[in-house]
Amino acid sequence: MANSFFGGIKINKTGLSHGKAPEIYTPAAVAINIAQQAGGETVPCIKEGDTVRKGQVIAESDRLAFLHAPVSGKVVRLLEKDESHYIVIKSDHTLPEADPVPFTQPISEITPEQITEKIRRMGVVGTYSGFPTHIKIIASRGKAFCLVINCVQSDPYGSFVREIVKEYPEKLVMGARIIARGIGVKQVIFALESNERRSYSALMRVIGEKDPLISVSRLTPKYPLGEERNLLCAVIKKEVPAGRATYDIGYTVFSAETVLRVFEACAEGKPVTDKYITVSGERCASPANLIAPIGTSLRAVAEKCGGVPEKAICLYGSAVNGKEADLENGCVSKSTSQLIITDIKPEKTEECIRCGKCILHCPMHLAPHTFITGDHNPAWQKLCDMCGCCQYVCPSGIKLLDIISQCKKEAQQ
Amino acid sequence: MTHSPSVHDNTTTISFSADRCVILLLPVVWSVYAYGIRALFITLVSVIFASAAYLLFCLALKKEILPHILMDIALSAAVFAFTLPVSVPYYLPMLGGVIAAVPSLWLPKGKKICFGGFLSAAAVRAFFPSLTSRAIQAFTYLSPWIFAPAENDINSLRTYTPLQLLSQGKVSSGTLWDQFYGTVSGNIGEISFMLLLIGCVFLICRRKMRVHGPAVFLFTLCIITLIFPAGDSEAIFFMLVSLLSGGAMLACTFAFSDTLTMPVTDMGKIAFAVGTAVLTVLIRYLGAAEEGVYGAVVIMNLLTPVIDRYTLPVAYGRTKVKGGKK
Repeated sequence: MANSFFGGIKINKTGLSHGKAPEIYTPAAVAINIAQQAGGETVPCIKEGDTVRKGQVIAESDRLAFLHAPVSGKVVRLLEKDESHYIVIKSDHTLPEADPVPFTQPISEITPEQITEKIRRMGVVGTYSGFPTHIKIIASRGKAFCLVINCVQSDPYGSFVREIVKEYPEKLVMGARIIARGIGVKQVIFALESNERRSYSALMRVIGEKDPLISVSRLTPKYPLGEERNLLCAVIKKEVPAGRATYDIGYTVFSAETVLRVFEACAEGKPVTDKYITVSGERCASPANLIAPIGTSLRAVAEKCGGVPEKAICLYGSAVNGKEADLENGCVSKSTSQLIITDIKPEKTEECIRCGKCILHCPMHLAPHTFITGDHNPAWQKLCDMCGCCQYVCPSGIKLLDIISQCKKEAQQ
Repeated sequence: MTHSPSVHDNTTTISFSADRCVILLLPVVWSVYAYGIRALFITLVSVIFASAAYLLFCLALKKEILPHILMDIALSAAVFAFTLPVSVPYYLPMLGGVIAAVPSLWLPKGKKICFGGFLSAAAVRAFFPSLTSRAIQAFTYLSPWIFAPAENDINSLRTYTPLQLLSQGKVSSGTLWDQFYGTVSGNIGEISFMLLLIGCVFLICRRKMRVHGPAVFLFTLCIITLIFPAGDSEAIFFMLVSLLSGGAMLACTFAFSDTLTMPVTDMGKIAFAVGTAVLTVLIRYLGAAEEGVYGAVVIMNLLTPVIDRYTLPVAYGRTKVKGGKK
């Protein structure tokens, strides 16, 4: 049962917000960044002073996914701040939502092109990367033969993925079938942590006894299992060649939330207007899983869960490699996943004692200590995906992620 | 907006040094039982003078005193004392301790070669053998300011250690179990294979040392001495004698747990271990028997940067992947 990958770390803090069902949160106003997808900007198609309904398209693009109004209300202004453009909407609960436009015919009659177009118009993008889902599906077409659904919550503080899998197994399986049809794959694997028994039984109940298409793979829980390449390593024991995409070896990975969004887009006709977020951490007064509209300010989300106390820090992203959240200007985007409110650790850094722990824990088989002296192999900068394992285990407390990002910056110049 | 570590597994550099200091206690206690309190004094003298040298150095140059480096220096001084016979005069551990501390004073500033810990002890022991032996001679003929050896010595001071016998082509008369438990004559910290082995296992269990280094070292040592025996006994008996006696286990425990001077990767540690074992046997056969393992460790340590360079791990994704469509 060694379904795992090389390196990684085990952190025994199983979700401070574990087992909490997601609750819906509605802020008074939202500010939507029009360039929140990887790959460019969208063009606003509304004017200041317009009244929008929740789910109405507010920004378009001929290539990227659309943006929709996360709340019903009035467009206050189109804001320009720090080189990013925002659409600010003041919410008004009296206005109705936009009408859903689902497919009416069964899946087997929808063409793959229709599916990708629908996903694009409904604004589905990758949960962690912010990469438009329809582009990924089109790129995988003809290359991938297996679809892996990432139902793993590898971050020790997060838990919303687990809740999604527990709550909506039917929707996930249906969504997986839709994506499978969109790409044309012959196999679907749900990747699940081995200690998630309830999610496993829930999924198995939906899939049924013997489905030739869908299977479930149970993996040893470890950080950063959720990362695409590590997940593939654990599921199929293959490494993606350097500089290639996962579909080059025949596999493509979609996260559980993305699959859920695809289902909602195609079967229910609901566009992406909100995002699942875990707010958690040692200093968080009331850890919770939230469903927050896109564009909610990060400060509002943190305040909702008790705020950030003194001498605590609010991290955006994973607890291990997250950066300090920009509470003043930051807004929830389609790739926001977690806010961690935790203690500020004393920043004491000592010399490297060459203990070699970073090498043992690096999932990319790098030698992170070589970044300190700068005699690293330049090719390694591309491989490192800043998971933060080396920094987590370093007994000298060296800020390896800072050093590596510095190296990356220098290499780009 | 930095990535400062907000979660951490809470190991510290001090825990590395502290764990090694803990396993030091076992041989110290045993040496007191075997040789009397004088063994403890010799160790203490070495440790105190080495620590004092470091503290004075820091005070003189107004540097920050780092506890884990202080521990490392005390450790290398203690290990140096371990490699001495109990009968040496006190100025020897004093001198040796201070010399062992010196390399650690220029401790790493991102340099590729770093000294410290076991390496300095081994270097002192390996490169000043004449100093050691002359001191012993001086002691045996005239000993003006030395305590008389304690009376409850298990062995007389004049008996040869098993390795000294080995260098003359003989095998010691003591049983192998004596050597395993440490009831034979020898140097202060080297005699008990068992206690050092316990320390070794402790470090491995505490994840302060990888199992690769010590295991491969002992294994290679066994194989070579089994194939090329040099004593007047059966090969297997000779193998066990060379394994159990001398500083092999001492080096195994303290050299391989010294992170600063070891190669960082597992492959590097294996290469280091094989090299050390081969050199140990060579030096034992060709030269001074006792210093074999220390000389080997020092030579291999000089090669550490080279080993490091050629044993970096193969990065993710360099493996050939079959299947899939292009």
